[in-house]
Amino acid sequence: MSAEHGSSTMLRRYVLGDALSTDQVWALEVHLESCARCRAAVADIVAGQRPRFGQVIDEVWSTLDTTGVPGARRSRWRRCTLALATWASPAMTPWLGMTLVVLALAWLADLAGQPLAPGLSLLTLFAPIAPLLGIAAAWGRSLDPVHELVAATPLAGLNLVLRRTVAVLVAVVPLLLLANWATGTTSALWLLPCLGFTVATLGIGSLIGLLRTAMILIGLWTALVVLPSLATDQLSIALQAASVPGWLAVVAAGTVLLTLKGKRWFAW
Amino acid sequence: MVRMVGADEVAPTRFAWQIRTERLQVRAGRRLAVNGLTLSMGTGVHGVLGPNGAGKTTLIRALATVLRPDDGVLELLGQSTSVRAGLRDLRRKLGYLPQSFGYYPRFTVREFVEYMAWLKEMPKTDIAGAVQQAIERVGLANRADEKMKTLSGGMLRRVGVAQAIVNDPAVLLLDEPTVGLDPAQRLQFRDLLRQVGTDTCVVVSTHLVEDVAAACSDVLLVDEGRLVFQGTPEQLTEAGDDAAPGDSPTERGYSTLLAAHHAQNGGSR
Repeated sequence: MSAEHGSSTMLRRYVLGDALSTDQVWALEVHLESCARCRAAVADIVAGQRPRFGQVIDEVWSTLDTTGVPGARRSRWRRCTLALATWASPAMTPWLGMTLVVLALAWLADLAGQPLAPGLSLLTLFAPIAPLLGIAAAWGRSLDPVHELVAATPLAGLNLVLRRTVAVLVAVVPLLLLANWATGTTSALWLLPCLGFTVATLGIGSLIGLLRTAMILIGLWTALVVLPSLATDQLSIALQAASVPGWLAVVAAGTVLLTLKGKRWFAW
Repeated sequence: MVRMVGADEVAPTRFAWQIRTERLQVRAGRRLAVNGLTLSMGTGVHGVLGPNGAGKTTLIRALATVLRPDDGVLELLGQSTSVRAGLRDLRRKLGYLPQSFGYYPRFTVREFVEYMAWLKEMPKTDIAGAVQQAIERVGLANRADEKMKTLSGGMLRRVGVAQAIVNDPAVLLLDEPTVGLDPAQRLQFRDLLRQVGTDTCVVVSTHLVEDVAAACSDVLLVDEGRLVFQGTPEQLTEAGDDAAPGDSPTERGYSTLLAAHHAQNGGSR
């Protein structure tokens, strides 16, 4: 049908609604949907019949809402926020904000002269655990009010958690790099530990929950690395080149755990 | 634009019941809240009645695939939920309103329902229209672009219903949907239930007996994790003993059946 066009008699009979069989009407309507020429012909015939159809057409138009797609007229800022919400869950916003405030304070302390020993930087000490608060809010009943709804959707699961983790890293890591660049300190010390903590949180979190894992890891890091470093004025071994193989092992173990158990986020 | 009709849209249904369970056991914490429940539900509105702690919420959560069944069979749309592979497709056809319904206060009604539609993997081009329709169906069109923190409890409940029906689900699970609705809204809500129930399997858990009598085509009475009674609202009314406590025939039916169930099990415990 698409190669041919409706004859003018056929179109006329279609408009006037007489003596076309059902299959003819059907075929014609399918053709009209894709053929501008025939639609124009129909419109001409309808216009010619204006006295007969005018009132009906006006009535239909008056009941149609012509304001366009509902919700399409929102501001650019609002549209950005919504697009962002498909990456960073809205439940993560306060935790990300808190993380950024803490990091900013650490950075300012580093800038404001050296209360610490040379080579020791608060930012470097906190950087490895920086993504953990945001990740903790990525999946779980306790931090996300909508969790019960999310858990029953097809998009729930490992993919969504990874998507949200990426959002956290994108929010935190570039700022850390920028801060390091501004003060002239090296980023090499904390980048691998940061990745290690991220993967370990996800891996262990798939077993015991993200929030609990994040709390435990933050506690351990503070007790075993941050406080001793500050007390002894020496950067802990965990943040020096010697520990690289250890961090690689952590990344590997976390990845294995995540591949084995990450499915549990989708369904039990 | 020509809309393509997919093969799955015209495929015949291959199941007798949208929901079928057999000796279903589900734990809530350590307690077996659903204990050996066997039931089947087809198209229509099914009211799940029962006293507090009877296992209604646990049952609905298991039906929503949020809780794992401990034992027994749970089939949704002819498909066992213990098979992980098909679960994703299955969840696209589910609508779920939990009892404790959380929300993001800074989102507008429309944004929230859109976000849920996105999570339910609806095609991008369908979302705007489907969201508007869902919001209109629950009667919130005039508040659609207001922030959720400005809404009253009953309105929030209706947003919850809107997000549940936005994907046009084949199985709609509503846990205490009438809480916080005023009488006029409850009437409106019953209309919506009847309308949706003509081609969908709707499960409504409630402790309001009169809701069930008015809007449901099928009543299930659950107590201590077991099915006590399944039948039409009329059968529930007929079961009522005139001496039983209750202000309406349906309430008397409810208390008669529950008392009988207690008497039956009371001796063994």
